Amino acid sequence: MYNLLPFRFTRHNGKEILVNEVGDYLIAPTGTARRIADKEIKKDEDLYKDLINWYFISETPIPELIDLLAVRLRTKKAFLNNFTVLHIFVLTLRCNQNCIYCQASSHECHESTYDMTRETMVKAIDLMLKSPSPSVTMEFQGGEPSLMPELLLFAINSTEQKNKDHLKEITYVLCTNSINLTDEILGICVCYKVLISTSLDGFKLLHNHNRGKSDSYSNVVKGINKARAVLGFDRISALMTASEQSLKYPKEIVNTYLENGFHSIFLRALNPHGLASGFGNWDEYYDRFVNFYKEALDHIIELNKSEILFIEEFTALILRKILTPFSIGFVDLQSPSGIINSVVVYNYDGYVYASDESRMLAEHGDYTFRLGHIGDHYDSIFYGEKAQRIAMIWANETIAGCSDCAFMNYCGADPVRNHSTQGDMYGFRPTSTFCKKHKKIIQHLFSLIIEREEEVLPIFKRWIKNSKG
Amino acid sequence: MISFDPIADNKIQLTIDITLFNDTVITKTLYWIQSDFFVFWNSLSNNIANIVLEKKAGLISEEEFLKLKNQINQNLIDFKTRDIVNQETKNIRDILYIKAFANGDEFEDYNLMESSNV
Repeated sequence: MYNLLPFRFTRHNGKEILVNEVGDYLIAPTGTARRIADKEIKKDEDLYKDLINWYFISETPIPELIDLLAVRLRTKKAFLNNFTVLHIFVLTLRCNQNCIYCQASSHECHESTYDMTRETMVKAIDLMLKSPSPSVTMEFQGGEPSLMPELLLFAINSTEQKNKDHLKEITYVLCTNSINLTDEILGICVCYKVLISTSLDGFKLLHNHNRGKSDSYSNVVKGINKARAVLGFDRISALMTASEQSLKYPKEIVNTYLENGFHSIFLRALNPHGLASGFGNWDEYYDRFVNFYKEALDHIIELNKSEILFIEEFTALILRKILTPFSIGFVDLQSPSGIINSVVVYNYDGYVYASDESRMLAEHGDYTFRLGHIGDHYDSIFYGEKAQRIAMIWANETIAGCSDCAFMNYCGADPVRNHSTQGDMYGFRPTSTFCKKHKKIIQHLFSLIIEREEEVLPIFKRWIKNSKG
Repeated sequence: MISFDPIADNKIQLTIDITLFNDTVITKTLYWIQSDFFVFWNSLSNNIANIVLEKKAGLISEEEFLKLKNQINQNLIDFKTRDIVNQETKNIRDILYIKAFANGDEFEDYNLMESSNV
């Protein structure tokens, strides 16, 4: 008689997907989970060996290789090792675009009251450098941070100077719409190896519609090409945000990325924050987004079959969680949640927030995820009462609806989204659009792996190898 | 599940033998329908749970009734399987997490057999 080890399961198209505590999966006939639990699996069945080898069952009460399993678990949660890695600095809320879905609650260009001061910047840098992580990412956001070249240069210079005492490895990222990539900005990027992350929503008409400007697409493409010429081709990456309008054009959006020389795309749904929060039916939107995602993914898989390497980055992140023993740095798919553990935001006004979405809530008067002020002590911000309260409910392993889910290992916890859409941080999975979207996408990836294994697995493995994770 | 019957246009009554499906299993099953139904749960003396589901808005169509019957039936069985796994693996799971995340030497001499009662 064998002993059970922790595992979860779900049904899918006449089969069962069984997932163990560290995220390894087995596909088995329906009823297998029940047979395992009832100790009906016979020693001479092939399944028995698989269940032993993949830590679903053990012949001893404590598996002989439990230490190995513990190392595997720790590896899966390796994103926790160094605490906060991503430090977002909101240089200004001013922006030169007028995006219909703006999630950052940006303001007109002339409103300088929305700029971060140098004093605030210095204190925020001090907090960042107190992070226990030996490597940190300093990400400049807005509004549009390229409207603040002097503050950008001051921030990097100050960080370089102060880091002489800390010797951290620092990666700089400028999140920009690429409209205002002046020689001055690109000069800073060259000098300090700043990566550029930009937004391209799709073809000209769609992009201009989303941005609320008639010349946005041509300006962005011009900016991207200028940045590539100065910084190098792969120093600039782009992501798209799927407005309601975008959902009609999955293939066309992918093709626009190809035409502009990108080797990947990140299919990103709208977040119910900022200006987008006024949007109507989110349930319907996410249903349509999942269909959009599936169509785009199918198109991308076809492209990859013709020897083009073109990656859908969100898929690659989930696949890394399904197909490898490693963790990922993407904060939306982490449990315990990426907020505070992996990311923190220093807002233009000196307040510190648990995530980018948290500061967007604050722009609408909701300060639930405001952790403190840059003048506060590091411990009171990162380990204070508020952080502790959030920590009570930030792990999928402990919350209703998630703890029994077969896809728990591949998904993430998002107390901010729960709070903003459902009114409490704990959330309610049966009506959670976050849960619904992720479940459908992960289920779709499993159906591809099960039903089109020979066709898609080589492509998926290439994506994992060639994406950042 | 012993019975699953409509008792009004917007209400269904379930009776469940709690020696077959315990409170945890029933609660987890009902969790997933709470967005659409109010749940009234009455424990009777003879190991029977009497549960009335009242639809929050509108009436229950025949199609919806059959779908719900299937869903609840399947979920009771699946959550019972999960409960068996959770009960039996609780200690080993605790040990696994302690081994994975405990810092320093604090748990080096942690007596696995004793702590897991096996």
